[in-house]
Amino acid sequence: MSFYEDEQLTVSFDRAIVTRFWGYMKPYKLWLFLSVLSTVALAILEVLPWLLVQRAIDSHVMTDDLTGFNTLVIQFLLILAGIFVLRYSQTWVMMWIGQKIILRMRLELFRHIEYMSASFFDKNPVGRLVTRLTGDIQQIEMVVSQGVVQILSNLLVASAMVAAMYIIYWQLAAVLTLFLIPLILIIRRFAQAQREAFRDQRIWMARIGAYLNEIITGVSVIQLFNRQKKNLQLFDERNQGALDSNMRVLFWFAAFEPVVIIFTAITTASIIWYGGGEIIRGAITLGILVQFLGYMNRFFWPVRDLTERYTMIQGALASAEKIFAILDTPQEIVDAKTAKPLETINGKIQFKNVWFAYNHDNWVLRDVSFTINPGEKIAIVGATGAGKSTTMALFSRFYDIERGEILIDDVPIKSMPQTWLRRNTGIMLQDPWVFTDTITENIRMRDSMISLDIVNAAAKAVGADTFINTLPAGYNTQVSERGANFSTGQKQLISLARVAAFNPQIVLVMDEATASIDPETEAIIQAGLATVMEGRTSIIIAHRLNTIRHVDRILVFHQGELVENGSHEDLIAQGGIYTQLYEMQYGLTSQ
Amino acid sequence: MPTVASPDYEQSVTATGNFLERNPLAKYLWQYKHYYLVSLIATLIAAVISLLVTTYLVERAISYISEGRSISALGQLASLVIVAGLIQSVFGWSGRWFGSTASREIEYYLRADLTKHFLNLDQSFFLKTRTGDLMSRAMNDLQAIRDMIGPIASAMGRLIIVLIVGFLVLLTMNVRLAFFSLAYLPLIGLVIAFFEVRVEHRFNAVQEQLSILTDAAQESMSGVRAVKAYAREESEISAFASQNEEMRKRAMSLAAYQAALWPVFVVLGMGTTLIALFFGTPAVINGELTSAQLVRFILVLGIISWDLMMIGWVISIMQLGLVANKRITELFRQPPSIENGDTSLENHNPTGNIKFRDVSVVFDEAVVLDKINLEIPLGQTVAIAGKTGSGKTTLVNLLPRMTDVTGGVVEIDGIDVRKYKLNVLREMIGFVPQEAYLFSDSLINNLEYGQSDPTPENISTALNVSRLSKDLEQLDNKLETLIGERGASLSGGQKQRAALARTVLKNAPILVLDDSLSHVDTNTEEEILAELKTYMNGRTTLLIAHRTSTLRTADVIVMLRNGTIVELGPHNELVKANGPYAQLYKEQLAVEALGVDLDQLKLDTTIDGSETR
Repeated sequence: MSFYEDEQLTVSFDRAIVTRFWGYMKPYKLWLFLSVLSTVALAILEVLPWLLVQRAIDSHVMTDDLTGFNTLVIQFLLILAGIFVLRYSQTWVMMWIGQKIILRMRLELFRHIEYMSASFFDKNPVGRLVTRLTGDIQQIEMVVSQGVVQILSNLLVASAMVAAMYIIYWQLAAVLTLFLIPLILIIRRFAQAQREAFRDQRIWMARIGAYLNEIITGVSVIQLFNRQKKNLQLFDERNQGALDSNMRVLFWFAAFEPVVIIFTAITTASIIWYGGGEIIRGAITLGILVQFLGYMNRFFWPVRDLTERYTMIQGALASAEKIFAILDTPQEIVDAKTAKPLETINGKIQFKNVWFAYNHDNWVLRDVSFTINPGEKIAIVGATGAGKSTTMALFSRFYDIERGEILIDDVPIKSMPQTWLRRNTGIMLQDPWVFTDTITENIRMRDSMISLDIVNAAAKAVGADTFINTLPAGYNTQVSERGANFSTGQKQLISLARVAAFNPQIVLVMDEATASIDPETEAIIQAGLATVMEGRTSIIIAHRLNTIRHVDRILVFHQGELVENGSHEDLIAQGGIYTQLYEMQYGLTSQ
Repeated sequence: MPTVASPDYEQSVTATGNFLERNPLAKYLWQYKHYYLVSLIATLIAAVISLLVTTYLVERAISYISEGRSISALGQLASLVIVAGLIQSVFGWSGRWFGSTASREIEYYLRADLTKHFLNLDQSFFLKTRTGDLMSRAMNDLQAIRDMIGPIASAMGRLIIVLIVGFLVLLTMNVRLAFFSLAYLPLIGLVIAFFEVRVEHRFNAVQEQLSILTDAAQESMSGVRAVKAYAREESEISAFASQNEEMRKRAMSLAAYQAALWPVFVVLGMGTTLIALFFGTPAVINGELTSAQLVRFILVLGIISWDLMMIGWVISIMQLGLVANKRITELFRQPPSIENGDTSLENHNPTGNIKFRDVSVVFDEAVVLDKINLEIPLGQTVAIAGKTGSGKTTLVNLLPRMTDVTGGVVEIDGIDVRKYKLNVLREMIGFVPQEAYLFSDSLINNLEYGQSDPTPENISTALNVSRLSKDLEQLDNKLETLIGERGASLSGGQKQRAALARTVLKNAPILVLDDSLSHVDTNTEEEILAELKTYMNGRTTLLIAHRTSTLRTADVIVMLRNGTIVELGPHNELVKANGPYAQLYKEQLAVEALGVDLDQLKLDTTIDGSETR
């Protein structure tokens, strides 16, 4: 079972979930109340037609008298019209409430996820989060618009029929009740079995989804390694599992049919045998017998529907539970109550005895201290795992440090709002992320406060405008999913223009990926980087020493510690790790 | 529980040919026709019992009552009702079971076929489509199809049978009344037509918006780090909020009609009783009908009305199912990459002689490769250099046929690559792509893509060549470590090295490295290149790189520009020739070794010496 197959679907009629769900329904309680009221009216209305049938038989058919028969027909029509109007408006209102609720819930969930800390996304695959926002939310809409009120309505209709039978002739009603009780018990038992199978089925479907997602995204690797057959076999295990659980759902679903048929037969037999006898004895009329037959025929409909709706509610509860679990995941990094932005930034950065671990005790940074003066350009170098990227992530407060302090202009970053901190720190990520929108929007990150002139100027400053202008639609060119229509270098240029457009006082550059770019584009990027870093406090990470030769100072990290700190010449003179790294590169090229 | 035979994974899926082959759903429905036939017959028998036999027994009972017969006579009828019920229940169950079993097995096969189809489609298809869209088709659409061909098909079949049998039963009782009741049907047809017209496009609009919403969420979350880095959460939220609101609007526009669907058919169903009373009561008084027959009349129409009430539900699911089937069929009709290779080459023993003859590739009128001629003898290492867009990746993609030529021929061992069966061809080539895609599984299972059940020696060779052996110490469970979605728990360099190890394990005679060490630090890269040197011995290798330190290790360097070869030769010769390669070499030397200030770099000179502006 892998990272994202561990879907748990524990379903329980959790009071807490129901109560919480009620919170979303509450604003519509007036409408809800009206809906409930209409279900009562509906239950009565749906009992009435058979009363009219009884009247028609006893006072017209059996007496050969048609006087007043037309009134009866009109009454019948009016009842039908009433049922339609009530049912329609009730369904519509519940759909409306359902849409309102999921509108709010979906946005709440999206907002919450957007503000989660970086570590949350390390643990939750995107696919799972998207399912929460779509499939799970949809389940809840279903239960609101087609579940809650309908269940009540079904219960009321079934009860109204039973009540009507007792009122009309309780002896016959009592005989029928004898059969109804075991029926309800059996159906409940079946419904439970079906629910369990249904739960399995959902787990299997989640597994299929996860695996399919991988097959699609990794298709070229599968093709290159001729692994189609093997991967399909693995897929088949899941597909087969889903089929088996599906069949169990089906088994119980199909089992309802004979149960309902047999009970209809038994009740019909009881009515003609016992009820027929009562007619012969003169206790009831033929109309009443027909009325009973009618009720018994219709009785199973709400009962059966009830079990299907109940399954739906179970599904929705499972969904609600998962949604609430995300909503309840606290943001790991929250702004302090007293957090306030600095009025101006000079750009002095200080790390004071910083310790950090992603997992406890596994220190990634140990006691790191350094100071960067306003406008100074710093490079961080070191081998993989030395703690370079972590240093950057900590400065943007993607993670919080365990010990020590990080300060900007002598103020701890913990006392600043996170959004403000990041807004004033231009960061160029290793993987230049672009989204499906125009190039302009990609540069200004959909921030309309940044004018088109600024966007153009920024692109020009970093040298991105050359390639943008060669595109037929220029700045309005649509970037496709994951920027598939652009090269890595072009995406980096867009990302660099982004930094320039946001004009931050502090610039962080994660420059690991530059190796996959051809030298010409690389040269443009390097020049763009130089422009962006000019006059700003900048930290750049690079594996290739040549890209950082123009910085003021170099910090050398080794196994989570800051081991060397100084200018290129100073460090070469020291003959330490930097010298080794440098010679390795130099030696390699001059062999 | 029944299980089905796993589908045939060798045969590729295409939706071409005759009607059944072009419509996978139809093909399977035809294959499962016996199930549906059994289901229909069972339903028919159940309907005959309930409509004809049971109602007749009730009619008899009522006649007995009016004739004042004995209670024991009623008791006999009552027990016959129960017997009829028992028989009906067996057939009722069969009707449901066989119809729905077929639907679930067809769903299983369609999903397997679709997945198989995905695996046979070529790169250009995946560039055009979104993962989310493919996922939603394979998951939601298939479920919609299943519902359509399962419960809905049963309900439809039942409805038709019940209508016909019911009408015939009514005919035997009273012709005039039977036709009056039949006149009710056009009314239902009218109502259905009314909804058809109004619901369909609204429904499509909702589905469309749902897919937009899904994409929006997917994208925003994939890029969450960038969003956070720029504190753009609010603009993402407001963009999402407006799509969300649009979704609600479209759903409500659908709801106006959808809300009516169920109530309309409930009322129409109940209306049948009124029909029976309205026409039946005067008929009894006229002596055309007995009161017992009127009761039977009411009961028959009551049973029909039960099925009528399902129409609303049937229509809405049918609509879902038909749209879904259209979307699925459309996918199936995407032609997969052709596999019409020559079977006689199945046991071809490859050596690894590669020849590009007049190779051209044109994408949408853009010339990516133009008449490339290149011969790579067995065992040689060729490095390919050139700026982005010069056609390097396209050139190597031609070998495993990730892309096909539009002109000329690519040959391996003197045979056109298009003549090989795809699996034979790809078996010959170890390819490390630019993006190191790993699967969310254990490290060892990822390595086993290269070779199933590898020996410990082979594993250690692979780990050694890729220098992954160093990192193994850091991983909690060594080779068994789960590496997260797309290898999320590994660094970029580790991912690339794992991808390399995977290919090394494959032990193919031809090796292609498409700039696949870009995230590996220089130190490790050097070690890997040294290790690869031995490994590449006897293998034909194609190597795309930017760094001259890597390029120079090759026997021959190919410089590409705008899809043509501008220079070709070993490092020393090319340096002497003082052409584009020498220029590149000097520039890199200058930057790396001499530490020339970046600002002084001549930006207007490209690596091949041409002017950019």
